[in-house]
Amino acid sequence: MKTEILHDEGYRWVMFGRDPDKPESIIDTNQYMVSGSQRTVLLDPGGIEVFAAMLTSVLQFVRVEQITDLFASHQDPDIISSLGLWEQALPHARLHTPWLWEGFLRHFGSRNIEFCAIGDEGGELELGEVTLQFIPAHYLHASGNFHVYDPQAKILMSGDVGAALEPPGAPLFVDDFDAHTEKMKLFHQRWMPSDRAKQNWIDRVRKLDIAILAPQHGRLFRGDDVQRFLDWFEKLPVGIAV
Amino acid sequence: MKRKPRAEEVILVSAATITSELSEVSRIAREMSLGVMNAKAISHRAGDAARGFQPITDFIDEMAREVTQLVKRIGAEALTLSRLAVARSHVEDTRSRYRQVREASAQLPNAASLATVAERLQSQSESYRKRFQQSLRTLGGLLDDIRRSTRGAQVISSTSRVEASRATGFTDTLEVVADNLEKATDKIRSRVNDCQNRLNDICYVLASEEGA
Repeated sequence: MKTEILHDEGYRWVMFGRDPDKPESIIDTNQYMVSGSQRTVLLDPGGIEVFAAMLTSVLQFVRVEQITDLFASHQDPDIISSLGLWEQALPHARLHTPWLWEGFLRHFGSRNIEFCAIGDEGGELELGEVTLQFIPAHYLHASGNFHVYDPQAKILMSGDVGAALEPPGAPLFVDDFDAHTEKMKLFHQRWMPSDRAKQNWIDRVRKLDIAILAPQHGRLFRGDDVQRFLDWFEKLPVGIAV
Repeated sequence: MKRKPRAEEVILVSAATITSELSEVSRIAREMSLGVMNAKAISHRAGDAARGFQPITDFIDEMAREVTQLVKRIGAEALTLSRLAVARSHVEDTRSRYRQVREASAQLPNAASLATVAERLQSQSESYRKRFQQSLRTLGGLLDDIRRSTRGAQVISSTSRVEASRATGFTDTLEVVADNLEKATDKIRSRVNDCQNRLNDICYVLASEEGA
């Protein structure tokens, strides 16, 4: 699994993805880790099938007992079906997830992990060197959904917003925005159900200072491509299947 | 080529099959109870001529009750076995994935932090194995109890025929009762044997797994 350090000043942001050993039939995912001196959180740690590769990659950076928190932006299997497996290594970890999904996520074989329900309005996670913000992104695409914003590193982990379906081994960052839109269009139009929710999210996110927009699938956006993405998304009609 | 079923698949399917076979046993036992009520009414009408039939109907009644209770206990134990099979499968799958991680990360300085996880999983696996063996023994014992309960039915069925022949005017009706008793106990024994075969399948896959 490829790893990319996105931020390394006092604490670390690491992106994991492009697992060459994952079965071809499952969608590629980006996982993230934010590691401070006291606490480490895994953001959308992934599905069962990428668990072994993901944990192996994580061990390059931290010992297993340093992982104190998990975050699941929503309930999809590619986000968190590995929960029961992580729980074996992290019996004292806390899972931060939309309140809506606790009873559903327990179906992923989780019995003991402490659920920290995030209310609809969002919340924060204190890691020592940085406080991460849970930004509401309901209906983008799940009905209970959060993104994670780091105001110091200026990174927004944006879940399925900004996602693209690409062949294996695609580069980590967008290098030609216009060409990239074709890979995002259907994904956003079909998976995102609500123009109103989309506009509400864009209005709030435009107020944030974002250097990197980091989705859960496909390439990351940096620099001017972040604003280009917001402009493109704003114009795109979504919820097109009906 | 057809793939060989995994041990967990054999266990889950076998446990479900046992439950399903037993619901049929339960149905047969209920029919026996109804038949007994009918037989009691007939022998009452026959009076002295069918006096010898009274203890026979009591026996059938008691056997049907006992079988029904045993079936309930076996159903609950088969469910426990299924749940243990799922939990055991989950632990073994987890162990296998952690083995992959340990092999792939052997050279990393942080790999040692997985040692306690491996120990915990090993201990869970042992615990499930023991509970599973215990559940299998309990199920086997309960199936034996059903066999024991129905063992006397063949003798009773022959006695019923003798008593039926003495009950002038009611012979044909009481012979039907005796026939039904024999057929019902044959069916129960056959179902119980099927259940035993399923239990044997589970023991076989477990033994193969441990020998592998």
